[in-house]
Amino acid sequence: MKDSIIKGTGNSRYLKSAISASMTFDQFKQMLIAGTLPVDLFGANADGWNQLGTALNKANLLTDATAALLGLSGDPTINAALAAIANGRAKIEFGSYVGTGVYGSGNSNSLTFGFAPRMVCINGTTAFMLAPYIWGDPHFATGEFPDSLDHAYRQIVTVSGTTMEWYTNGGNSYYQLNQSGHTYNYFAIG
Amino acid sequence: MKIIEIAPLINGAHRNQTYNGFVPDGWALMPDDLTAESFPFGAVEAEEIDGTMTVTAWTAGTIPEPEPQPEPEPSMADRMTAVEDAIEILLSGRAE
Repeated sequence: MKDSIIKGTGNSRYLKSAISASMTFDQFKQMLIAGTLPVDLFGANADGWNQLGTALNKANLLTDATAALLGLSGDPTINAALAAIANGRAKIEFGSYVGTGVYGSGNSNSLTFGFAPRMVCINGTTAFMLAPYIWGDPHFATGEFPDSLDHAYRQIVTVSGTTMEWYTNGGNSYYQLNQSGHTYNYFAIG
Repeated sequence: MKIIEIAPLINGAHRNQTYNGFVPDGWALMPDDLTAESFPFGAVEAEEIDGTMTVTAWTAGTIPEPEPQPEPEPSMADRMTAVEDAIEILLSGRAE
């Protein structure tokens, strides 16, 4: 976009008025003071500008085609378009929790995010242990990879709104990523 | 800051996580300046402050004995060495 740069020569705009040709100057002045003088801002006079700026109109600010790309219809405002962008972009959240030592059905872990999680990764208590969860998968797996695949356990995962809960189908709190007093780090994408 | 679930688990611990600006029902904000020994094992007192459930007191609980760690599995290199040793023993026997 370009800024307008006015020359300051007193001729940058046109005015047009519907006042009567017989109006006296006193009447004109009274209407002007009273705020009742009718005028149109009748366009810019190019001679009065060093540079004419980009027009602030629908074609330059938010076309119907752009609004449709954002899923908007009707006559959306720029504010509505910005909100649609903010709601549509990927969100990410980092955090941690301290393990409580419990495990199994009825002793699930939970994490609540500021959005519905689409992907969550939790790191375990060893360098090899990383539990990824992908949205829609009712499980994620944990174990001491890569040497102990025979000790890998599935986590039963449920996601309700912005909260994810899980518990291990075997093993102990180690495999539920919930060892007592251990700090687990996670990130979530939504 | 953290948030913790006000109700304890069966072992006296409280589910917890990093505060992300949202406190679910049944959970409370845990101020950074609140000392919480034995966390997350303890008793919680919480009340609504400025519209947010907030932990106002923490009494340290008993930390249970640590659970046994899973037995460390032999590494791939250890397993290969064991297989090689076994083959060598077998071959030695056949040679005799």
